[in-house]
Amino acid sequence: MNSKSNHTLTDADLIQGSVEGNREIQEVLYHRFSPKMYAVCLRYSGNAVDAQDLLQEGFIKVFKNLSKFRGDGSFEGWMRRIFLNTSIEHYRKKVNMLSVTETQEVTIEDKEWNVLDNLAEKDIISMIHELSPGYRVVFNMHVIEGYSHKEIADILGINEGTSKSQLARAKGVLKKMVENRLNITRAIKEV
Amino acid sequence: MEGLRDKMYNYEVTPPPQSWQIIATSLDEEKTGSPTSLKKRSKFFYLSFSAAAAIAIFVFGLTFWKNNSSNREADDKITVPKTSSNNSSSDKHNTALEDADSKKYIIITSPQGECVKISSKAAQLIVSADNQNPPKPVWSAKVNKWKDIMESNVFAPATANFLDIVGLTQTLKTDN
Repeated sequence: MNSKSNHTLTDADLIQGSVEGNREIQEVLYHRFSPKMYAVCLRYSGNAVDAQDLLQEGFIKVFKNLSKFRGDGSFEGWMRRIFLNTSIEHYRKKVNMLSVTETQEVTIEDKEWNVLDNLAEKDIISMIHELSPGYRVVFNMHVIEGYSHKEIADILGINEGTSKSQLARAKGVLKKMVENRLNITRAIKEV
Repeated sequence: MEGLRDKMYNYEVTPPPQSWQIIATSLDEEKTGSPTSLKKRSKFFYLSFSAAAAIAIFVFGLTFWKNNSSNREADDKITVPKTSSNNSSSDKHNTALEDADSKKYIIITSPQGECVKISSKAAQLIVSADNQNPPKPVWSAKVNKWKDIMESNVFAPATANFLDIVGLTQTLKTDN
């Protein structure tokens, strides 16, 4: 199967072929979606090795459950949910969420968000990797995936307050990292 | 924040090239009774076999220990010579005949006071020889009759002995 025909295959073709067990079609499906899914795994894992494990586990789940995909939403969204659940399940046991009743709201100012926005994705990933597993999961789910605190609490089996506090702490850690970067940038400019 | 969200949501990283090979291998193994599942199955069988063997050894050991301990208990019961109420001839063999059937061996005390370990099969013989406990009137009468005959018969000639035949001839002549 050449690369030209690979591009002409629709998602429906890929799903059909993969359900039938066609290994070549499965490989095409993998190559089409693995970069995005690997990025998801990298965000939730603490390192590249764990991310590779999550990627493999997630794709095996995808191929096993492909026949259950009804086509209600986008195929990519369905896959993303599988990878998200795999990542969350993987870290659920590791994460020790501290329940904090008193939430210290940490506000990241616009300029700090701008710094984050201007950073390369790779650098943002490396900063996220420095967060503890609990902070990382909540930060990813709320800031990147757009889940509400109630949804996060339901999925992770924690209190809504805990989710909020984890996010606040995650933001606090990120804020410090951004401030350090800003200081370094200023120092370089002054020199 | 929206910019960060969009940026990270659509971020793509090419995974290491060997990842697909690992996934494909895993899928093949799932399809054709994988070595992993076989390994798991063989591990399960190994554990089951080990558990069964351990149980069998335990049961066998317990049975063996029980048998041994009961035998040892039987062996350890050295019979103290009985003190009989009447000093009959049967006193010379004090027997440990209680539960004789359930034991392999019994220990009797000889007239000289030595403990002798004999098969429990001989217990009945010893009981038969003891005329006092319990009394055996028929057997006793027979024995007494034979005893009388032997006591009254001073000479019991044997046909194989020439001197006995000569003696018998002389006895017959005398009687006549």
